[in-house]
Amino acid sequence: MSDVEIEPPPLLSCRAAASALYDFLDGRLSDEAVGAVQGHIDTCRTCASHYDFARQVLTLIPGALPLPADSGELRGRIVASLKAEGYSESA
Amino acid sequence: MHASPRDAEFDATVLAALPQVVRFARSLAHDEALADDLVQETYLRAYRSWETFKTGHDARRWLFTICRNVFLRHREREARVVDTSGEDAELESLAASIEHGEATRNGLGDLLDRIEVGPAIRAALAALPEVYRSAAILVDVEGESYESAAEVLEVPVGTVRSRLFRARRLLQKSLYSHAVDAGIIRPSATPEQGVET
Repeated sequence: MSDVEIEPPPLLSCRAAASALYDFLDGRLSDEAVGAVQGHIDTCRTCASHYDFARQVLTLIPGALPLPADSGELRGRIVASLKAEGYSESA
Repeated sequence: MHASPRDAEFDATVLAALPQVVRFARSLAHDEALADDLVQETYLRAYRSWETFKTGHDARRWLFTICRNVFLRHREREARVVDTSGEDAELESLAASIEHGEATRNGLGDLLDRIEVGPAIRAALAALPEVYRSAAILVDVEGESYESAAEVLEVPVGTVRSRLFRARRLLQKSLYSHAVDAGIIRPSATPEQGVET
């Protein structure tokens, strides 16, 4: 058994946890800060609720703007205008 | 006719990114016809300055930069009018939490399961001022890093961060408003309150 004592993460206030929200979700915090935030949201329902909500919204954003299904007509227009500049399309 | 090596490379690296550029342009312009014009102009400029593109660099990022510059020329007035002086990343996160607390007290519950999220998010993104919308589209839709987005937007990384956080906060606020309009949560009757501790 290891005799190294693992210290609990420092207590974080709701204000500090709230301020760290997006840095936490974007993975831009140090390991130590992640531990402190995680420790807080594990025990604070209010903050955990917002973290969950914000995480879900971030997950849903890309799906709300799918790639355009067909850019064929626009591509044709672009190619035509590029040809006037000397461009030749690959076969 | 065979394409020259230059044009073949242009096809493979630049024309291949057309769907992403179209999506980016549409998110900036909100108008399909205008967005298509932006994309066409973007490709024309890209072709004319193709020699300046460094092989191995991210063509998509380069195209986003050109596209946004073309767009800003169309919308110079908006770019000047939006006041970004109050941006503060931590305060945006904090304010988002306070607003979430308030919405929870007003019956937020499982909001995301009860509204049509896609249209609500699209409308919310469309309503954002361009500087915030661009940051959100690049990072949250296109998956660019803060650093790449900073390159496209030609601002420091810290500015991307604060604009992104404000965009997310405004987006969240729009979702709450959408839910109030749909009768899912009650409108706020009390002044905003701080977080618990």
